[in-house]
Amino acid sequence: MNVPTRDTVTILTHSYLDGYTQNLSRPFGGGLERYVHALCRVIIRMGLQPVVYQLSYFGAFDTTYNGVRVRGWTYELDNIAVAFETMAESAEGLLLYGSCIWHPIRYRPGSIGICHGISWDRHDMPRDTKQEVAGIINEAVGQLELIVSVDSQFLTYCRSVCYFPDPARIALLPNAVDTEWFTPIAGANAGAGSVPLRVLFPRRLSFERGIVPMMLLATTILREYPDVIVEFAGELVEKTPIAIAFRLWLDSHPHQNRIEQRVYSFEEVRTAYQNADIVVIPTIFSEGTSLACLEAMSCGVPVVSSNVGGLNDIIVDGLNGLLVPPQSAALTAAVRTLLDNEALRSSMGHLARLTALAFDQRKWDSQWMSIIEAQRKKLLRS
Amino acid sequence: MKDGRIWRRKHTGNKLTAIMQVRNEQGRYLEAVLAELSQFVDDIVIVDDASTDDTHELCRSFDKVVKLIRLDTSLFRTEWQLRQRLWEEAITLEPDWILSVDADEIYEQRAALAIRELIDQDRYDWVGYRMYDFWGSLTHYREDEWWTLHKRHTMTLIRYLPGYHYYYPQWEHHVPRLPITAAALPGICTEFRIKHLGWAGSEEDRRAKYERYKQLDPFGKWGSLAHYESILDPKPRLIRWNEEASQS
Amino acid sequence: MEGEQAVTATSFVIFPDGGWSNLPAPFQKLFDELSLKHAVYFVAAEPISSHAPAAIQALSLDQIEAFGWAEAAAVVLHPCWIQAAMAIAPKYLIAMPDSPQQGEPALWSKCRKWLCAHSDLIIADAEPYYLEQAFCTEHIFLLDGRDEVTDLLARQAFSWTLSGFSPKPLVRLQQRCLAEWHNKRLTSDSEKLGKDKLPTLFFHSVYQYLIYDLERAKESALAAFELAVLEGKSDALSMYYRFVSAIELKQGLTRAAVQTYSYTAVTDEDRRTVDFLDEWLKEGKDGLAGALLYRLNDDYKQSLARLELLESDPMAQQLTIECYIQTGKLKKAKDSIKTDQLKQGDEQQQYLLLRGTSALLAGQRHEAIHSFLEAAEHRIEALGNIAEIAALDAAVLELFMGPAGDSSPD
Repeated sequence: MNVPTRDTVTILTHSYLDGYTQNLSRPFGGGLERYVHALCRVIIRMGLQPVVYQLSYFGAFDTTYNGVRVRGWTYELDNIAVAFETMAESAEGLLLYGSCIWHPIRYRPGSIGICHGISWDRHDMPRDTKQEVAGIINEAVGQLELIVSVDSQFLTYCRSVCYFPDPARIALLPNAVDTEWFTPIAGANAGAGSVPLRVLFPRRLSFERGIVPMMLLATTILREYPDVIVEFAGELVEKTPIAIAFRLWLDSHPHQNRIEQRVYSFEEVRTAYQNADIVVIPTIFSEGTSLACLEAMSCGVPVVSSNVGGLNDIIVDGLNGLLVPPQSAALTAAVRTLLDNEALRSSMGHLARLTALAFDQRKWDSQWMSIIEAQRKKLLRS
Repeated sequence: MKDGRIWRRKHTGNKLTAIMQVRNEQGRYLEAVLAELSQFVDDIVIVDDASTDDTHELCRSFDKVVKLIRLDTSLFRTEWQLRQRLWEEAITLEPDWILSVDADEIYEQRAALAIRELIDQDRYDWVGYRMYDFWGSLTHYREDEWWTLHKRHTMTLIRYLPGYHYYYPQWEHHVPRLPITAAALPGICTEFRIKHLGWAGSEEDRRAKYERYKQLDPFGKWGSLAHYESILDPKPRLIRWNEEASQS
Repeated sequence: MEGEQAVTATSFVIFPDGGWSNLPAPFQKLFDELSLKHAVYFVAAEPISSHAPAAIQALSLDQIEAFGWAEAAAVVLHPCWIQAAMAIAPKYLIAMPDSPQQGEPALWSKCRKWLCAHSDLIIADAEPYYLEQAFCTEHIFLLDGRDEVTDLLARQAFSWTLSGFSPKPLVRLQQRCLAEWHNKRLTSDSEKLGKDKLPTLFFHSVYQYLIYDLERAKESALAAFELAVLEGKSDALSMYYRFVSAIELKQGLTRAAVQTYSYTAVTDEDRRTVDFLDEWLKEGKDGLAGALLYRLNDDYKQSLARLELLESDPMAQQLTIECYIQTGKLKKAKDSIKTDQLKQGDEQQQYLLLRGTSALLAGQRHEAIHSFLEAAEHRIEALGNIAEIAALDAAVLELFMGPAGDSSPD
């Protein structure tokens, strides 16, 4: 059992500062890293000391970021579990396991785990693999004192697949959005008919995030609607098959003058949402609570989303967005519905905004504070 | 086969036909060989290469000899023709499996007992055995530089595939006992043993054989001269035969 | 080449594989001769070698677009030119590709198949590849400098094609010559052949098979089989004896052919195939059995000829499509597929990929990518087909820039 020493809370994660490009001056721009960052802010506000231990592809390091000590540990690709156990041995204070719950980690007693969504929900992944994962999750549920789940999907998964004596072992804490920063433009979507309508894909261009159905959708929509622009706002990892495919597609596209692709910094991305008339989140698999989806909704933009993972927790079909199977035909039909109906876009956008308020950042902060506080008390008592 | 189908291998009820060429075997091992064979084969086809003794009568006395051809002139000097003739006579009987036996070869008990199981399957088409050269007795076999036949396998048992291209190379001597193209088909090698008794007799017998080889093949065109010479080796390395032993 | 007037291609453009010196000598000789009567161009960034005939002019990639293709032929030496060469719609397409190399990129093999499938004439400079293609297409010739008559026939075929006449009558003629060439080696130089005797016997058999001299083909094949067994070759049964089944098929002895094949069926898969064939024979489906057996002997041409007579049978349909795909005839494969009967999964994938590749070869890049994306929606591997387009583009650029000396990029 670990006793809180010097009020430390250690977060173990496979990624925080940018270990992919060796740029240790800032976190990698993904959802997981932003989560860790936000969690560190909460811990500091509690007057406690956060420490982050992460895996490092390019060699060990020990640095400080925004006042938080970050240590990078080397590891072997096929033994992540061991790497986490090694990190845990040197960790002080309350331990939060921030990722890799599908790896067979032996958890230090009294710790909290976090699950960012189900990543093994590809329909064509073999059953053997899925069953293996089920076994590992079951172990995790047994060893961790508490698992914080960002969506109800994982919560239901555990209840239906695992055995655990205490129903409170899994807590639902959806991701959040800063609704004071991500706001609709005042007077936006007022229906200025001459402005071209913008359809936005606000994510990294990757297979699981549905870049392929999005490209197919784009081709159809651009052909049918001469006044629509499609924007891809996300990173492309160069030289991957996706990148090659996207560039070739763009180069030979008959409507390439109405296709845009760019990368926004975190501060700038709000303008992308505010300029968009429709946002498409066509995830094929592996989705917790999509931050992009929440941000879009917070900006009052109607969302066409696939019915995958945690997206089902925040979109109600026909109410605050359109929820369809992750197939290009269905996604395209939904986009058409919204393009053809300005009033619907407007009402859905409004309801999307209201929905987002229920996922406000401040609520998330205070929920985490409660969780950490409760666990520390428990550890002090024993 | 009727209704358009092709011939398929049988995995039960295979008929086993032994084939043999004989020449002046009186007083040697033929009687024992035929008696043993009769225990485990279904029928026997023999070509008598113009024997001048009672070999013919001896063969006739065994019921399982269903075909016995007597040649007037010997074909021994064009061995392939002899082999070919025997083969052609055998296949008129539409055999399922053919076992090629020499008049001085005896299969060990175990081999004889296992043979049905070996042929009643449809996966492979020949069987190889280990053949041991008994030397000067019925108790020991020879193993030294030129006498290592038992370290390889000899194909003596093959399935007959109707219409398959069976071919004997047209050599005068050392023609393989079975058509070489049979070996191109899939087969298995077993650890069952055959006792070759051709060298098991007296020293005079062996010398006589040596003289015959030197006469037929003085320059070692068909066989190795050193191998022929080793027949006369006064101290060959002999190993005792163990009837129960088997490497399998 | 459709009917009406035969159009003469007054010029032809060589899409090369390396510089002029990299061309096999018989090809150089051919182009030399033709340069006297035709305008000959060579696609290259650098000036052409001084060894080339003075009359040959260089052509840049931009000039290709603007060229007068209505009366010109494209002569393609490297498979990766296929997309560029088809997109310009030349009057005649002539393929003169290298033989497949061990370990070459899969993309090249595919391109080579597509190239041969869409060409009006194919000229091979190596015999094994020639024979492989002789089993797939009609208009194939060998040009390897082995003797006057054989070479002459190949050069004639080239001229005829440029003049708009089908070289088909010359195909059989050349095959006869080649059969005779091997026969001579077997009868006069038999002793000197040594290790070459076996392949010579076998090739001889194949030529006789091609020209329908079937009894002799069988003799040669059996002789080759015997020799292979004597030489201890492990593929004696599966290569030499198996070919006898093709000969028997051509003789109209379907049942005997299936029997022969059954003797060569050693693997579990082969044995299952024998079960199929036997079942079809029992059901009187000799045509179908023959078609499959031809294909098992790599004779796609004969297989397709049989299958055409069995249009309504669904199994025949499937075999037809597979044959078309194997021989690179993508459009035919695609057109044969009944899209309303497509099953989800593999079948649909195959169709989408076919549709994509057909579009690519027709110069419709965007449509091709779209089809591949549709395929990729279900199987991410289909993105590889899009990557291949990029690889082709890169290959074309490299071929155009022309590395000095060594011909193969990668």
